[in-house]
Amino acid sequence: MITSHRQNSTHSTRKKVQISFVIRDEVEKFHRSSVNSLQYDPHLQRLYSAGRDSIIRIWNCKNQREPYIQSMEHHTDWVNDIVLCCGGKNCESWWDAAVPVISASADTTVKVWNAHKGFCMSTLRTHKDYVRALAYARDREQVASAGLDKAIFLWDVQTLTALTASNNTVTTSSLNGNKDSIYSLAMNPPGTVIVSGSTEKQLRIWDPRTGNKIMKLKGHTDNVKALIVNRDGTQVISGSSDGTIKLWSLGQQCCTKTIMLHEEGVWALQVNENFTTIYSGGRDKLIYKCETRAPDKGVLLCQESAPVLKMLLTPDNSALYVATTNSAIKCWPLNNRLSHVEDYCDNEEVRELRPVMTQPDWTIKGGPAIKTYAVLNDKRHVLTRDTEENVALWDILKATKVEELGKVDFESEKQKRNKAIFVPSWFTVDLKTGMLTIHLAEKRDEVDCLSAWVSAKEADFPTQDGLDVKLNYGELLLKALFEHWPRTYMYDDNDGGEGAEAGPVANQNGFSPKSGNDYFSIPQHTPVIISEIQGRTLYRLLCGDAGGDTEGVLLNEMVPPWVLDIVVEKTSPKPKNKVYFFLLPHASSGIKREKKDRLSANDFIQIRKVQEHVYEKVLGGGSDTGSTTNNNNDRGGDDKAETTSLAEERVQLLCNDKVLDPNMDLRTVQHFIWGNTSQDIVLFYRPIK
Amino acid sequence: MLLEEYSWFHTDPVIYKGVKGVKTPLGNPLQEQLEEEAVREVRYVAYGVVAPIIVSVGILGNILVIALLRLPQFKVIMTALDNSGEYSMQGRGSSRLSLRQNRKRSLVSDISPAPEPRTSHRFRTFSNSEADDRNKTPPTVRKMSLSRSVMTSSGRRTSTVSSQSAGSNSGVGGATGDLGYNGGYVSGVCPLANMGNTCFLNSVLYALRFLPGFTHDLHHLHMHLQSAGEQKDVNLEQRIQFLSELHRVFVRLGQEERSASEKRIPAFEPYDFLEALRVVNPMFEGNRQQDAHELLHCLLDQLCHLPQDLLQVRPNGTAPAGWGDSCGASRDHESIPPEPKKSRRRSERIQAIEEDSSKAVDVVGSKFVGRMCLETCCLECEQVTGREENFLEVCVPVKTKADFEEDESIGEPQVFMSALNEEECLQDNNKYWCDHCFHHNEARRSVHFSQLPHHLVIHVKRFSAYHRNMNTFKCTEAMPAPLILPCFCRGCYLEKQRATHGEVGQDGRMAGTKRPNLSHLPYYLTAVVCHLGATLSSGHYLSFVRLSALQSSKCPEQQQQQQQQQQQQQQQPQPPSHQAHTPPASSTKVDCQWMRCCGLQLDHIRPLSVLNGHSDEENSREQDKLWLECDDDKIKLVTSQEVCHMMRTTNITPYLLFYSHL
Repeated sequence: MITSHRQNSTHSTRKKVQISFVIRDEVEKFHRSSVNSLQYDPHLQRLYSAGRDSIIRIWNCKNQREPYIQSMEHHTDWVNDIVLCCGGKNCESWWDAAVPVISASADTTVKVWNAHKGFCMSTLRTHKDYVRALAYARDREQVASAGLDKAIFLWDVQTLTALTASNNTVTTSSLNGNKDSIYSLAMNPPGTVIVSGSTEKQLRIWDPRTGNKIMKLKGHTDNVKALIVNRDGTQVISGSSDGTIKLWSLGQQCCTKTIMLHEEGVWALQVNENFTTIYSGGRDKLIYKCETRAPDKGVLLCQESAPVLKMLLTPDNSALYVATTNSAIKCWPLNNRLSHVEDYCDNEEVRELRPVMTQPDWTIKGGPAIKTYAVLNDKRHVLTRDTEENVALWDILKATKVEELGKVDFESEKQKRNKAIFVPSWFTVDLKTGMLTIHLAEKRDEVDCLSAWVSAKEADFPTQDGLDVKLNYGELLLKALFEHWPRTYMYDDNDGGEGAEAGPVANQNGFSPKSGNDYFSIPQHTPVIISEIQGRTLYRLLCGDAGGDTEGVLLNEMVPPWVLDIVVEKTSPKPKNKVYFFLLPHASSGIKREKKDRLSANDFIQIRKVQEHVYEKVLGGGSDTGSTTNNNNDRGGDDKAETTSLAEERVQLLCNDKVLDPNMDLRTVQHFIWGNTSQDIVLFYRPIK
Repeated sequence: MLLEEYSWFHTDPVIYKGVKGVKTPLGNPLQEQLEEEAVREVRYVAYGVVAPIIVSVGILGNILVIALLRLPQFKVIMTALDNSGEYSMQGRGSSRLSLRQNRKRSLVSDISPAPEPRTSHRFRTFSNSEADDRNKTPPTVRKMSLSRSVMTSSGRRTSTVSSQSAGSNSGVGGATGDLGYNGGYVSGVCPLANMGNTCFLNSVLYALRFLPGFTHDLHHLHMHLQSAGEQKDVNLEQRIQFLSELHRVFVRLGQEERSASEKRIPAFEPYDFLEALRVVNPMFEGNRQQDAHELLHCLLDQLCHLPQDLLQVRPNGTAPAGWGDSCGASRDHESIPPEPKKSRRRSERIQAIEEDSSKAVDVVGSKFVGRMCLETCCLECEQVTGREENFLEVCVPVKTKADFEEDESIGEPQVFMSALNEEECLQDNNKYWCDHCFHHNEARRSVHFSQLPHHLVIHVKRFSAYHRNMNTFKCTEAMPAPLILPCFCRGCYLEKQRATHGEVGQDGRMAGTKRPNLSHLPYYLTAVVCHLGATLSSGHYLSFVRLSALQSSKCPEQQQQQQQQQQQQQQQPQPPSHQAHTPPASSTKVDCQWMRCCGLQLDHIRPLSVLNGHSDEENSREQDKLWLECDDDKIKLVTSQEVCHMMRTTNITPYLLFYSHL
């Protein structure tokens, strides 16, 4: 099904690979964040929208109440641009043909989708940086893609749709020579001219048939973010971050008109078929309409609630769809109300203040995007606040939303929910899509996926015999993420026997190895993403789809060794963080000990264990040899439990003159009571009568 | 927010100093050691093998020449042999041989016996005995030792020397031989002697001395510091000492110039100042070549901060607790040199300047401090985040026409201006984390100058460090600095942009917003410190200073206050001693003794040799066009065209540029 167009997938060995997943609903009906691009299919009256939440959604414009049809999800980062190929017009056998939608994303890929069925047909990985813009030549069925890697690639749509898993090589012609990142691209329908706009502040005109640069057009003083070419490739309209719209004549190779309507950058442009009326929108949230003959007389059509990212004029010029940095898409009518434009324009002063329209025809509702987050001290729950000021609590370990708290104060809620407990950081949170994306990686910036050990009791997982088992959050989660991958629970015949003994976690409870971890599963719709850290996405799949054949093959290739160790080999990660401490008799106890013992223990060891150690080795046992605590105390029988409870009653531990709770672990003592991570802790003990 | 802060921090060096790219990392001991070893090795070869051979060949050659000279029948042959000898006998020392001939003919006393140590001192490879030797030996032998100096200066210096000799032969740059004041040494200016690799010091001192108004302001600062009395704090005391030594240099130079009756004033050795500098900043210890920019920075830093630090101290009469006395004492005790000011980040240092408190005494420093705004613009959301900071100098990358597209017709001033307004793009793996987009995006980082100082110091980033071996690489491309630089502060820049915009777009709205021209006065290039040679730690510095009318003018404060009197003053060559003067800080009336103390009188400056071919004296005295080329103890008159030519074509690369409002 999925064709990976792999030309550069050799890097996987070079860069460190991380595992990410998105916590979300199974069906995300609304855009979570800004909408970057729009396409309209006039035959089916469907609207395609590409969002920064990495999802392309299809809307039914006939049903304005429930417009949502389906999502196309496979990108892992902002979708920057989409084009709807074939437009329905030229294809005779249109119903049979798979109408492709081509999308460009910040995950550096270009994807080809079957628009009717909504699945990803192939992925083009030729770009080396964010792909920012697409252009479509309808007559030639050619698509051009360009991005921040400064390259423009030309794709033949027929070839792209014909790609299969076996036949997955595409020859592209590329237009090189750009010095700067390309932010906009346009091609005329016959495909004779490509125009690119970049941070170079100039337009470059190319001939896609020869790949030669025809000319450069200078005049803008900032990045060029919107471009349109007319049908015969003689005129270009450009919108720039310098706030101007310029009309260019390619014949004369110069700017014929400069339109200054916007106060800030012009980000979106639309023009009618015969190049007479320009619609423009931008950072100042305003949408103007002006005639090319009289560019000074702009009409303020409407005011959006957020900077305008994309506009789309319906083919019959009756409506304008507007996408902004808000998640809603508005449809503004362009009917005869605007026939009084001429009269209206006479009143110059009012034009500035009052838009022609105040209400859109209809709105495709958008969802809220998460804007703020706080990882709670238990390093398991995350508190978030979205654009609608709603606060929610998430359980990262189970990849679910725990609770919606409504419009409450974020800071006080954070204070309230933070317990005095210390757990090392083991994941990073990313809000680029407006949803929670969690990254798990090997040690990087003080965050190590496998560093967080907690007791099962603390983590609220019932253990079989009430014993306190230490669990590793990262290990549990990785196992849950890959629990449907057959390789994690099926063994080759030759090492089937060994497999039964593998996995200490399973071993403790006497279970034979099975899929996932023994405590919980995560929702099957959770997207799992394998990617290079700060780099390209290697693979994305849904957690529940890992059982598929294709997925299994690709997973074999993509899953990094450090994850394989956990999920396939079932090697339990080694506790790495140690806490060093001195154990001294408290002054009030009256015990004299000349030797100062420097002890070390895993950071998750609870005070109870230290008490036990004191009771057995220092006080009860009478032997002075205990230089380190016994780390393997977790495994124990009934008598062990008895000594523990005895020890708790008999021995008291103090740090900084505070009596320590037996349930507290050493790292919590270190961070909250000792307060100095660089110095060894000094613990005092005193027996209680 | 945090992330943003971080990213600012991260790129700070690009805009300031410390840059990965700009300088030799200060004091890398290992590197120095390695370098020392390499030098020693080369020196060993040079002394032990090459030098004796050359000396012996030279002596043989000279004996031959003397023998030939004695025989009259060979006299004709001699000239031919002498010429050919330049090429055949000693290929590398030839320039010195030809130099001797020049000297014989023109009698310009470049190497004529003078009590001060001279050119040779620039190279530390010279021992004293050698120098003495040279003074005693007859001219021919001395010449040989000179040619030896070329050899002993071990490889990397050779180019310096040859270019140096070229410079002394034909004035500024070889090709300018025809221009008016070529080689014209001047009287009336006391030269500074090279005390062994101190050309970095001399070049900066020359530049500051001829910076309009600098000596005057320094004079008042000095007077103020003297009146402030003794400081208990050792560190402060040292710093005050440093500034007063700087003042004393100018005082001594002034004295020498006034008292000098003979044509050439003996060169002055600013030894005390060098000592004071080393006390304040131990970085300058040792006899190595130093970075002139580093020195200037240290100097300006002291000028800017000493007055404030004094103000901080004075209320209690003691230094801030825990820092001053105890620290100073411990330093004395352990003989630890005071911590170099360099170690503090510049932004911190400058932030310490409180506007109101500084005005009182900070007459010198405030003229060098400007304000700039560092802006980052996310290219997706176009949100601009900015931070304002003070600056002492503008660092400018070397740009040439080659950096622009061929089809662009761009003049040298535009190249320079674009270098001043250089933007940085955060892209590829160095994307900017935009906290509005929650995404790594491309961003543009730019610098705007909200306020430009009176004296604008531009540091041309000629040196970039290689990452691996920590060596510096010099960018030798010529980037000519314009003699007149239009003000490029934010206001003027916008004004200009608006003007060009208005022309391009025929839009009514823009015309309406057009305001009257509010641009500031342009800057004039007043001094240039140039660097010759391949690396930062080697090579030679010399400076070019403009002889502008303002240098000999009277106390600017007086000019402002008493305009009527000023007219009278201008007619008189010397300011009347009874003139009352009000310094900006205190309202007490103080006599401005600047002119008599350390002032600079241009009247005395005149070419030593008779000007050939320039009969019209008036034209030649046109001060705006005249510059001085100050190469240690050699000071020559040159024209502004020659300076421009020098910047455009020669390997005398401008390193520090001083612009001033006139």
